[in-house]
Amino acid sequence: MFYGINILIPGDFLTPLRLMMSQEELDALRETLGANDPLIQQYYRWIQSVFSGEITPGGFRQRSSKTVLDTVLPTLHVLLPSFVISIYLSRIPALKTKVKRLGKEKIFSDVFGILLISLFPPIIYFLIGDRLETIFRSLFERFEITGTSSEILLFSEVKLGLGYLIFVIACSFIIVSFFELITMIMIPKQKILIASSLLLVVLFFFETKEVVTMLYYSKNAFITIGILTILLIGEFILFNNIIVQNISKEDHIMTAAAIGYSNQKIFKDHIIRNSFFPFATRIAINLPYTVASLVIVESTTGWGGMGSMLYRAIMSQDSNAAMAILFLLAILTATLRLLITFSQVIFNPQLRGTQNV
Amino acid sequence: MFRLILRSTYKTYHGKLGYFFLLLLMTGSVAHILLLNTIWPVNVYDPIVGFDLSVFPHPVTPSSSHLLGTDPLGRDVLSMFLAGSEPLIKLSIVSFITGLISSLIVGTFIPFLFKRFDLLLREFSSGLVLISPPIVLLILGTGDFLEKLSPEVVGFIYGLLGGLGVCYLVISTRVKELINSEFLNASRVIGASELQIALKHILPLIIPYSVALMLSVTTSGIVAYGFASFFGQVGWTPNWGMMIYDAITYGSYLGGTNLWNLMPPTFGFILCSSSFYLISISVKKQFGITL
Repeated sequence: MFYGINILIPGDFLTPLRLMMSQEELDALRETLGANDPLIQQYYRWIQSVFSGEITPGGFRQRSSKTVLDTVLPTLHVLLPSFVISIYLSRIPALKTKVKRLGKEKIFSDVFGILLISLFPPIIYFLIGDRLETIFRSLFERFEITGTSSEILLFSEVKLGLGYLIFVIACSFIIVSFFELITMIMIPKQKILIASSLLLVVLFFFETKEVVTMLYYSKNAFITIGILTILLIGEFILFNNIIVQNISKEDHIMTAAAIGYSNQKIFKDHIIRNSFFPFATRIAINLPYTVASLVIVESTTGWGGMGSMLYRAIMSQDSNAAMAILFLLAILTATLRLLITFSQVIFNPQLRGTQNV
Repeated sequence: MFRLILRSTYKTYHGKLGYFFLLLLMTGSVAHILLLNTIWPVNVYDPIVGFDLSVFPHPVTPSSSHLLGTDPLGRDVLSMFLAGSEPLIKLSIVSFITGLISSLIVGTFIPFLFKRFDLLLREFSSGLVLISPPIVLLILGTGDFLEKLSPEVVGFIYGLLGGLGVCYLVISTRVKELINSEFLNASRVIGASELQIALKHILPLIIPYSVALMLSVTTSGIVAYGFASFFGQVGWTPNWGMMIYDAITYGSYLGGTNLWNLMPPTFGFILCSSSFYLISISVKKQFGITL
């Protein structure tokens, strides 16, 4: 299918050069780069590069130095924290609603969710980008953090990338805890514990210079995470509204309310646990749209993840690179769906067959 | 069936609000055509090439002659805002109808009458679901299709992707659930043909599913068109994505980026996408669809 899309895309990565080169020169270049080779040959070269772990515009003989796989970690740096923050924050409207009202229409919450989805990333960037940048700059000045993003080149990219992933996830738990505290939902002991242990891991296993580089790197990352989180919160509020509404109509919730369990207890012990799988399924179904959001957000903030790489590949008509990223994203989506299906079978007694029921 | 959907969705708050937003947008679109043909001089109020020479420098703040001000290129923001609703309404309607027709035709007949093809089509649909339609639009917009990407064409592509993708998967599952139900067996016993059963019994039961899903898909189509128009991938049509792009890009070196340039298109997108999504929620509620 992805190869089919590749064939459908008009032109190739050399097409934009027609404005600067003659047709003869362009044809010669196509021949040199192997763009005129039979499709099956180009496909073979591309699939070979997939299995060698280097997905580049490998349908052609020359390869770009920037591999597609290099963009996976930066994508996770913004995607995972955004998911963590938005999953927890999208629950707040439901948590602040009384159980007997959960089954009723939530028109304000729905409209608010749609409002967040329809907000254009460039507008969010315009509204929050400068403010976040000012906050970061003042923090850097206050704590005398000096450095440049180019310092990242001094360290092992994979090690620093993994360390940074731990760092941003810890930060996202701190942000969630902060919001849960100010909305007076609960004292998030578990989340604070997770965040502090993750931060300790970073402090113990990484040198001071590496930590400073991570902090410097955070400026752009958090702007991207902020925009992506706003979009995802909108999406997840809508998911939550439907799921919570369906679950709250079930008999066991009514029984729990009749016994006199608190709002908090019913939500925590009965609704959240039952809403996990429908919620996860919806996230998996919506992943392609999340990818589309990623393209827009990353190209707005200039973050070097898969989204901006895909945007650049599409804009330069580098169809093989675009196909490689789409292929990776499809693998990611399919893997996530499979994981959800398997975990459903493992954890849901109703799906395990009659022997366990 | 469609009349029943229309009548029952109107009874809910979500439906009422959704229809109200849609009506507001349609009124805006019609008002733009009327104003441009009667009161507004075309050279000043045209949404693409209009320029007010009597005011300088642009952008100007809202005033009596320009109720929402002007953008950095000197065009009237109200005129651009009203004109921007037309392509989105066209796109939404075409996308909804295309998706509805394709999903109903394929979704009713293939899983029920041509079961062998169902497995193949389900694989194809699963593949389509993995491909993000906004990305497809972005890809098409870079090639030679750029000038052909009118709102109707975008709506058609989006409707087809939605109808044969996620909508087909849901509908075919629902049809499979219905295949062995008692009322269908009873119809077979009294002599109804498979085609009659498909048209008289299956189709009415899956219409609400298709309507609800296609309304949701249309919502993302609106947002996707906005993205594509922001990146200039949909040719030269007056649209809200382009308004935002112009306000930010030209505003940065022509008088600054102003909120009165950014708020109307943002509000327009919210209004348009919420109208379809709210109607979709209403359909789900009225017909007990728990998707």
